[in-house]
This record gives sequence, structure tokens and C-alpha cells, in this order.
Amino acid sequence: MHHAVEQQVLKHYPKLVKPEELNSLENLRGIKKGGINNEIHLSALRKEWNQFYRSHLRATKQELLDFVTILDAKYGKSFTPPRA
Amino acid sequence: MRYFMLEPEVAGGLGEHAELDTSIYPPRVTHLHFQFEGWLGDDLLETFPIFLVSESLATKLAESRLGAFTFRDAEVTLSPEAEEMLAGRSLPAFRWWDVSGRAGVDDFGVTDKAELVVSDRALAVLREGRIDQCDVTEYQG
Repeated sequence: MHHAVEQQVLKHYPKLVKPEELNSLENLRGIKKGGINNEIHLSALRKEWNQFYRSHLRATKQELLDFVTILDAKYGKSFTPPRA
Repeated sequence: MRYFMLEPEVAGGLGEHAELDTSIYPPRVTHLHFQFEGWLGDDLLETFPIFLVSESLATKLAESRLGAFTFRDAEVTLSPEAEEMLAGRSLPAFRWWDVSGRAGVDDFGVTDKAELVVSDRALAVLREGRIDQCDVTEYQG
């Protein structure tokens, strides 16, 4: 399983979201076990979030959700079930 | 001298024990807990706003005497997903690589957005390790 909104948002944006929101079904994405392609996709997602933190000293919950929508459109085919 | 901006592999993120001051930008990390979520094998890693290097690359960097950095201790853990993905592969020890040089001036520098910028001779040192997942673009200043 992969968290669409990463758990480390709790560190970058304290009090913006609750841990239980991050662990909700809505925020989880299935990833097939094994296979280097899946690892590469996850690595690419982490790079995307890294740039988000860099460009957002402050963020709103809506900005997090909008970014997830962008990432789902870009990488959703590799999720189980697909999100794109 | 030519300079390059690097975007290293992001193999994980700040773990629950990490402590950072988010009242300033870039945030200041006072305790680094890095949690691996996966690893594609690079010796140079990033999670905003910090960098890590493997112990072997740290040795090469120290021997280069190109300066403007220190090594600090980090708490490093693996998520259950990372343990699963790493099955059979060994994970080297990693150190917190605290780069303090100025981007486009020093051999190893950071921008005001905590982006890593290195000279061509510094990049040659980093390439003595594995940086296959690191995006490298010329730095225009």
C-alpha cells in the first residue's frame, strides 16, 4: 500500500491533517508486489512530493488534494486498482 | 568552472521521530529520522530539506577535501514496505550529509531552496559512488 498524501506531511505541515485521515481508505493506493517498475513509479512519486514541499512553505488541505489528483492522473495506471 | 544542480533519489522521508522547525524556510532539521520506503540503490539520497550519503561515499567525499559540508548522525529505519522491497538486498549505512556551501560558488553548495548544486570536480567525486537515479542539469545561477 502507498499513501497518496504522504505521512511526512505531518512533519512538514503540522496540524494540517490528522494521522487517521492519512490512513483512510480514500488515501491509500494499492501497489502490486514485486517488479522494478513499481519501485521506479514509487520513487518518482516521492520525487514529486519532495518538489511539492520545496515549493510550499505553507500548504492547505485543498492544495494537498489537488496535488494527489495530478499524481493520480500521471501515475494512476500503476496502482491497483488503476486510478487514471 | 561549471556547476550542476542535482535532484537525488528520494528513497523515503522524514520519520515520526524527526524534529524540524517549520517556522523558517527551508525548515531546519534538529533531529533526523529518515525512514526508507524503498531504495533503488543510489549512494546519494534526498528528502527535503536534507541529504544523505552512504558510508562509502561519505569516505570519498571526506577524502576529496572539497569542503563546505559536515557529516551528522541520523536515525535510519525501514518501513515494512521497504523491508519487503529490499528482500535479499543489503542496505548500507547512511550518514546525514549537511552541505553548507553556496550554490555556484563552492564545490558543494545549496540554494536558498535547499537544492544541491555542485561543481564539475565535485560531481566527479559523487560519481565515484552510484547516483543513477539522480537528475543532473547544468546550473545557470
